[in-house]
Amino acid sequence: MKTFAYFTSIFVCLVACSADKKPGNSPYFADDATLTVSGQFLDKDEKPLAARNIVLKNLRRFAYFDPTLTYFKESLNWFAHLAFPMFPSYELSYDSQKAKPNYFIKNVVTANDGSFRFQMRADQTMRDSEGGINITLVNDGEGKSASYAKYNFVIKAATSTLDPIHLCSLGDVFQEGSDSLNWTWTTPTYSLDHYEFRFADAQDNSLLWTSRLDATENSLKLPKAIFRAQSVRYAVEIFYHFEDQKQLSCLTPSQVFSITQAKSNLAQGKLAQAENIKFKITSLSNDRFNDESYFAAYDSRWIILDLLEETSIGSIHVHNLQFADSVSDTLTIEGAHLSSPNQFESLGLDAVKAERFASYNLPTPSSWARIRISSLSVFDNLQEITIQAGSN
Amino acid sequence: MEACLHLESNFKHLKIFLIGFFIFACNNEEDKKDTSIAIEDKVFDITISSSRPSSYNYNDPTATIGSTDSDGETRILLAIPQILNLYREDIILSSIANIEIHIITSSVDINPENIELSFIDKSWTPYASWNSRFSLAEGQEWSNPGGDIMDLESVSPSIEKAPDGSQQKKLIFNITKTLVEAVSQQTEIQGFLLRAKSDPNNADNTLKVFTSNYSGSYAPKAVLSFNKSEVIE
Repeated sequence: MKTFAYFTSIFVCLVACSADKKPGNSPYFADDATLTVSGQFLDKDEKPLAARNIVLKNLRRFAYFDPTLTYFKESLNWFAHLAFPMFPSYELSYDSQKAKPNYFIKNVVTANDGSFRFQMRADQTMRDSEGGINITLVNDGEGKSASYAKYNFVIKAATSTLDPIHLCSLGDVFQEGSDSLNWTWTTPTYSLDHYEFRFADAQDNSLLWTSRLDATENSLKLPKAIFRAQSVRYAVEIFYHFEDQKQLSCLTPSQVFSITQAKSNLAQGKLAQAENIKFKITSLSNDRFNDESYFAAYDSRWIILDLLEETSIGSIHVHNLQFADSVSDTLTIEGAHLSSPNQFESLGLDAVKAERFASYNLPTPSSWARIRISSLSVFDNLQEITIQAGSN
Repeated sequence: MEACLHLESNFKHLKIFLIGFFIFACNNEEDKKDTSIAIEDKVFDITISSSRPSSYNYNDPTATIGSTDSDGETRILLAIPQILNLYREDIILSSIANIEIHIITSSVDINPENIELSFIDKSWTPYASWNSRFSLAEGQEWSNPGGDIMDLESVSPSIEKAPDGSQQKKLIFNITKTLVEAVSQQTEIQGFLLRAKSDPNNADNTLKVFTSNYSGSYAPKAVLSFNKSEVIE
């Protein structure tokens, strides 16, 4: 009972000092008003989805963020995870995210008819700069990345009854080629903004890659070497136009594929060095995509990967690159030969646009013993570098 | 606010910190929801060395862990801080988001994969040594000289700049997963062992760290953060 009284008192304290009343896109609500959000999740056959974990998030800004960007303000790093998770159950888990500021989050499980209902006090919610109470609902599936849908909206009334939310489907077809992995789909007829493909290790859900595509695209081609010879989980988030430029998205159920004929990652096991870092770097080439981060501690603006021998290179791929500042959003990738290991030459990849996940094809495949990746911006994070030989 | 000041709880430490947090939050209307719940506690340590198998050192403000030809290997035993005893309360455990051990170093010339924080389930005294959990009495030897490490996965650190803007680095060991799993299996952890493994990928096989004898903010500490929503529900 003491524990109950203790936490009840804490609750009273928080509620007493946490009113956030600026009306705007959402109407005024009394502090003690109860806000209710209810709806129903359906599968692709429009049958109820029972016993699914549904997460409700209320954040200070609308839950739309481009995770392909390389530069986030520090305060937005967690937001990208929380409001825009690669896979809802992935990345530090909700538990650790929930200790961060600027969130309100609740979890429920759908009933047998697929229905769910959230209730909260009005003064528990946060409003954005326009007075809107932004809500993001995520159907977290069975809690292990089998996610099904994400739904964003602004509360307009004390009781919000949503239309039934259908299972998200793109109808994409996957094919494995000799050098690449390929997806094709039919462009939906409704008003699209863009697609985002997300890939993770199916074993531990560590993030391998994301690709953002414009609404006009209907295919995706990725070099094989960016994935290990392993099971890969992927899902597609489809973004629609919704409510005055704000966006509604749905996330397809994640699928797993295995690569039957792997393409070598030529960087695997190779050592790297970086500006201001004295030890030999193994984290960029160890095939682990969930290493602890440390680049931010060293103010590094260049990284050199030693391939040890002249190696024919077709494309170079950077995984999860983030900058600590916004001095530059470009990378320059150069090569050096074994005979002159410190004389770096252009690969035809000068001042290329930096993206969080990016594949850079050499204009002409050529052989190099060392690769230097540099920027005017300081690296805040870089998880892995992969290299593919060949003719793409 | 009166309710804030009349809380009754078994969790004295947590209560004090949380009351402070909420008073602070209430005083800052603009940032009232922008503050996470985090508490800190000092971690006490002693240094043990294979070159001095029967003696201990808990007086120096810094320690150089790792291996050298002249001094053998040096490690640090870190006692589990009192605040982490809270984790034995289920309701506290369920609301914990992160448990981290923070250690400040003058520089990190070791590949971070070779810096390991391991877990120990045997108790020791402030007089523990490389060979013994209590060097002043017989029959208290470690089964494995240098500390008996539990069969749990060791944790390597993430690295950040020290928050004071100095050249020091902060090693952050996130022990949440291991500690929560250990508790769920009713395994009691008594402390941690910090060591630096020799490896060709290190620029130097030693690591100079600030110990709990350092009077400033560089001393080792445990940092707990809590899920605000779960604490208040």
